[in-house]
Parts: sequence; C-alpha cells; structure tokens
Amino acid sequence: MDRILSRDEGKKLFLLGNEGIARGALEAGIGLAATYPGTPSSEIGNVLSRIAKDAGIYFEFSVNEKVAVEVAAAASACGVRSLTFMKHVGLNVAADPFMTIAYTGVRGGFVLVSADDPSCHSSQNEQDNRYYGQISGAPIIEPSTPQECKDMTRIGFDLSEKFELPFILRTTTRVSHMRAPVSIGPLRGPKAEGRFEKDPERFVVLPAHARKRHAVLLEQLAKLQEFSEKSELNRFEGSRDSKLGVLTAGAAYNYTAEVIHASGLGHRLLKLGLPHPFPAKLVREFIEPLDTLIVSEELEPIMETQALALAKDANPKLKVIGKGSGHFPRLYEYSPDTMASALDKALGTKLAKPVATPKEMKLPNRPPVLCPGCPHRSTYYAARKALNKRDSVYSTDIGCYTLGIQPPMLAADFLLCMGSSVDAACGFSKATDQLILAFIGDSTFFHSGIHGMINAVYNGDRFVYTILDNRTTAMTGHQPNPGMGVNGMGEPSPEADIEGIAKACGVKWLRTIDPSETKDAIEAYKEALDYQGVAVIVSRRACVLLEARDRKKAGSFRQFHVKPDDCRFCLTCIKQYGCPALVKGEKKVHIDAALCNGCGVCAQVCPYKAIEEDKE
Amino acid sequence: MKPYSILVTGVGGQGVLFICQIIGEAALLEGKEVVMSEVHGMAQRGGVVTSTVRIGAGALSPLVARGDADMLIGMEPVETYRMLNVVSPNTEIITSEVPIVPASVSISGEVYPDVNELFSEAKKTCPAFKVIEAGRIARELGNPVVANVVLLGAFAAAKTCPIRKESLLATMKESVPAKALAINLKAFEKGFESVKA
Repeated sequence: MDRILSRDEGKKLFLLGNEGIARGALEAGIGLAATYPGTPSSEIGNVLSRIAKDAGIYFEFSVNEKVAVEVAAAASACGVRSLTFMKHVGLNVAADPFMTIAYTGVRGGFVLVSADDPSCHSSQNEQDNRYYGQISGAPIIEPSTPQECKDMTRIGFDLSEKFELPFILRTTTRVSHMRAPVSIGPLRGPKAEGRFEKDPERFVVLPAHARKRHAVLLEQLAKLQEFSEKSELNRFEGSRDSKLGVLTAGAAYNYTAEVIHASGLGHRLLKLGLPHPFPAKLVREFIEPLDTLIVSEELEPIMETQALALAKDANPKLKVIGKGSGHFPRLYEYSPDTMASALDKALGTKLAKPVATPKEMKLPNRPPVLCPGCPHRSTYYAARKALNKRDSVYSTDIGCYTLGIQPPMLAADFLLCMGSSVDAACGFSKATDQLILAFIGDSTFFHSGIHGMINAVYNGDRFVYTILDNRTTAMTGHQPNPGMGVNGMGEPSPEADIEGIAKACGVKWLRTIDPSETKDAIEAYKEALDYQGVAVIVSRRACVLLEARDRKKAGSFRQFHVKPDDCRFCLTCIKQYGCPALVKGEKKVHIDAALCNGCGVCAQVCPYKAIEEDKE
Repeated sequence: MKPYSILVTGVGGQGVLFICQIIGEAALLEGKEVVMSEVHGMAQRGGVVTSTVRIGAGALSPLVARGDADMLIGMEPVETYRMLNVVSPNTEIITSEVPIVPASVSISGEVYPDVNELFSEAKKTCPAFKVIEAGRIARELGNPVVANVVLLGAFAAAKTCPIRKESLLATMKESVPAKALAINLKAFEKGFESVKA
C-alpha cells in the first residue's frame, strides 16, 4: 500500500507540500482530479496518477489546463468533489472557463491549485496569481507548510461546497517543494460518481443568466467574508498588547515568523490563510492599536494595499513597513534574509549575520543543459547543418528543448509561452523574409501547438514546423501524453497521430525523421527550408533517459569512445554538436563514460571517423 | 537552541535530494522538528542543485539564512566553493573531491579551476573544512553513484551532527531498494570511518 493512502490516523509522514495537497484531497473524498503537468505543481499529479486505482478515484492528464479545469467543473456540477491543479501560467490558459465557473458556482467541492513560481525557478514569469481571486471573485486559501497544504485542501473542499464557489489554493515553489512532517487524518471514502441535475439558468451562461449569476457570486462572497472574519484559517501569534504588528501569508510566513520570533522584538502577528475575500474587520481591529505594521508578502503588494486602505480611517498615523516604504522587494521569492534585512533597515536591529568572505575565484557556469545523447540536440544539429549559416529565426517553445538556447546550438530566438513557437512563426513569416523554424515538443504540441498549425496553413505562411516527438513529457518528470498510448490511470489508450493531425490541418509537405540518422535528417531540413509553405517535420526519437533505461534493462546499453590515434583535435564534435559527454582534453577529445548514453550521433558528426562504439 | 541548518549542494543527478530526505526522515524518526526544501524541474538537467534541511525546535523556514548554516555538504568541488559566500566562517564543511566539469568548459572555453587551490582557499575561509574522498571510495566499492552516501556517512561522524547514526541507518534500510542496500550501507560506513579514523 502506498504510504499516501495510509489509514494510520495521526501518523506523521515526511511529505512535500504537493504530496500534502494530494493527501488532503483524498481526505476530502475527491472523486476526480485533472491536470496538465507543470513545475512546481507536477508532484501532485505524479502521486495521484500512481494511486488513483487503489484510491478509487479518477485521475487524468488532460491535454492542457483549460481542458483540465472544464473536466473538473463538469464533475463538480455532477456533485463529485474535483481537484484541478497547474502551475501559475497554466491558469492563464484556463482563465476563460475559470472566470465563468465563479458565476455558475459549483456543487461538489471544487479546488484549483495554482502553484506560483516567484524567482522563475522553472517558469517564464513570476506573475502573482492571487490577482486571479480578485478578477474572478474566487476565494483564495494560502497554506505555508505541508501540514497546512493537507489541512487547507481538505477544508477548501468543505468551504467550496458550503459556499458553492470554486476555491483557489495558492502555493509557491517553496511551499510546494518544502518537505516536513504531516500528521494525517481520516480518509473519506471517495464519491466518484454523481448525477447532473439540470439547471440551465445557472449552468448555461446566456447573457440574461450570467447577469443574475454575477449578483449571486457577490452575495456568496459577502457571506464568505463574514465567515473569513472568524475563520481559524486566519490566526494570531505573539503578544496581544504589542504595538508592532506583522501581517503575512504563504511562504513569506515561514521566513517572517521565524525571524521575528527569534528577534526578541515584542510583536503581534496575523497570518492570513484565507486572504480573499479580505477579512477587513479582522485586519482593521488588528491594526487599530498598532504603532507599526510590517506587511510581508512575496511579489505583489496585495495585502499591503488593502491594509493601507483600512489604515486611512482606522489608524492614520500607522507606520507601514512594506513594499511601498521600500523595505521589501516586489521581485523574486523571499528568504529569512529578506525579513532580517527589512527589520534591520526599518527598526535598526542587527539580525543579518556575518558571512564568510572567500577569495574571489573564477568559477565555470553550470547552466542546465540538454542531457548527453538527447535527441533534441541531434535535431538541432541537423537543422543548423541544413541552414548553413543562412539568416534564420528559431521560434521555440516550453520544454527541455528550450535548453537548445545554450551554445553551440543557440537554437532559441523567441519564446513567450506554451504553443508560442508555431503561433509566433506565423507572425514572423508575414513580417520578415528570414528563414523561420518553429520547434515544439510532443506534449506541448497536443497542449497548444495544433491551432497554430491550422492557422499557418489557412493563412498561407511559410516556415518549418518541427514536432520534437520524444514520446513523453520529459521536463516535468516523464508524465504520459496523448501520443504515448497510455493515460493518467496507467491504462492503454489510442495514440494520437501527429502526422495524421498535420494532414488533416492541410499540411502538404510532411516528413518523419529519426534525428539520430544524421544524414537523412539534414537532407529533410534542406528540402523543408526550400519549401514555399508550411513544412512539417516530425522528429521522432524517445527521450534518451527512457531509452538508456530500457536498453540497460534489456542488456543492449551501448557507449562510444574516441580512438585517440584518429582524433585530429579539430573539435568539430564539440563546436558543432556539443554533447556534455564530449570532453576537450589537452590534445585529444575523449568521451566521459559516466555520461555517454550511447546515441551514436557524435560518431556521425566526426569528419575523421574517430569515434566508434565500445566493443564488449 | 537555534535549529541546526544543513546545506547540501551538487550537480543534478548526484543524489543531493536523496541524502537530504534520509536526514529529514531520520530526524522525524527521532521525533525532531524538521523542514527541508527541494529543487525540482529545469535545474535538475545537469545544473546546480542545492537543498536544505533544518532540524530543531522553531525551524519554520525551509531556506537557510545567510551566515546561518551549521553544515555544508558539497558533492562537487566548484559547487562547494560557490556556496562559501552564503555560509559563515564557522560553518563545518564536508566536500567530495571529484570534479564534474560543466559542458561550458569544453564548449565555451570556460576554465575549471585547480581543485587543490579551491580546497586550500576554502580552508582559509572556513577552517572546519574537510575533504572526503567520496569519489574514490565509491569507485572502489564498485559504483561511483554512491559517493553521496559516503558523504552522508561522513556527516554522521561529525561532532555537531544532531542525528544519531542508528537513525540514519534505519532510514536507509527503509528507503533504499533491497538490491542496492548492501553497497549503500558499505558506502555509509566508509564515509563514517573516514572521519572517525
């Protein structure tokens, strides 16, 4: 039995925040969960996919976040408790349905986890999704620890059902990827099936209906705010009669509370676990007796702005230490240093500790790179060879292959979001006569790369569109996708046919290549680049991590080496191919056996045939 | 008593997360308060991976404040050195000796510094600096991958280590697959002895 399904109530498990969310959803008795993987939310899906059958719930990897949210919304409308989760930018993709779910309201509890990424550890921006609460009206709960991730997910389902509203559970990377003991509660049996009771005035949002539902939303929010004023999700710490107040939430709470508790400064701290709708009465009573208020929240000054608005009447002389006063940054994730430095600046404490002062040494950078033997590198190699230095634009996408930006490939010139490779290529095709190459992975293609393909054919664009089909969703941890023949329940499913989709979109020039067959791959790109229309190349080769794993199991794992006598140290392999397993020595190149995954492409790249497969 | 803070740094694939989880689970086994931060996603593709474990009453923050680390475990010489400006002069350091040369050295002409110079400068900065030949020991045991567990054993032998050796071993026995357990336990003991000897 998987430990996440433990019935040992009260037992403490050492869980990630994301695992806490999965457990909390199971304790709440969810019947359905749907997601598209994205760091830092992915582990929730990895856990649920693994245990769905044993837990008696339905789990799916949807093709994208919009679909996931609508799947969950429909199940909720049938009275089934439904969880959907995604990285912060995933909610942009799902924003359209989500706004309106706040109008229709929900039946079975509906919790949407938005995992934000301050500091952009694995993301293209650090947007603050608490604003989605304000735009949509949806309430927000914000845990700080894995224990709260579990408890608040469960409570979120109860509240969602009670107030008939979709709830956002907002985490950040440091909450999702924090690990700590979690005391587990009882598992409620899942309710995986319901029934849709028709109510078109509610669930069919014609303008006449939507106008009424907006009013209902505001009524429900008002009721929830009354609840929030007294909710245990918002709690106090510290001394009741202190004149120094601290308002905080989420990840910032962990740093803020630890630093101020240890500082020796008398204080009263209010932690908001239900920050939207904002508990205005509670905060007003909190700030009235204070001289100074510290507001510590990552990214946008959302609580700060609301506290300042209240202070105008409630306590006009209140000194507020926050982003507006310049003591806290609006950028990047916080740390204990953020809090210590703000207190030192504002109150003259000396909390910052001395650090070591090592001699400055020039250290080599270590950016993330494409793995040794990665098929994406081989595809980029072929495209570059065929381009032969002609003026070009690489319109790339979100996935491992974005790492093609590193030398020597330099295969990334433009990127916005999931699916932007092909959509932007349409624009480039109209605005410049440079050669345009769009690259997208298989999972991202299914997520949002198909509409752009239709658009390109429809509008007569000219570019080369490559689908890098490595048979998995590699970057987020090898989750299945519709092209793989297996679904989120671990059951076999029909494989979506990328070539068939391209044909159906009206693509006339279509080629499937194996990027490890270098010569054929280069020829395909030469032809594609000459084609006066949308040329589609499906570059199909399994992720090397999976291939190496399978080969090791089957006893067919192979590696390559450089024959020192034949190596002329021309460095073609390193300068043009640049696999991390190729190491430049004093006078020869050699292959690091600890890294080589045996793709064999370097042997085709070497002009002197100096690289060969190891013999037994 | 303030919480005990451990930084573990290395390169994606070296098993930074694994030893942090062992330390964390062992702390939980002893009924201690513990928090940990992990790195998942893009940084794991051959990039730098730094994780933290904090043990003891009042440990709320999963991140370690500048100058607050009690222990730095480094799995790669350059990565150990890169962390020196966030630790304190009193931080205890255990590092592996084997460089993993980043691709940027071959491709972009960056230079990997002399390891002996790195280590002697590090020792000047933080006198409680110890090199454990984790790479050599792991190779001699027959699998370079267990170098992380050699370092874990060395950590267990440190005077300041807040976790009992028995708890770490018990956790390893729970977490490591049966066929890999023997070599991991050997790696742990070798690391432990390399400090105690």
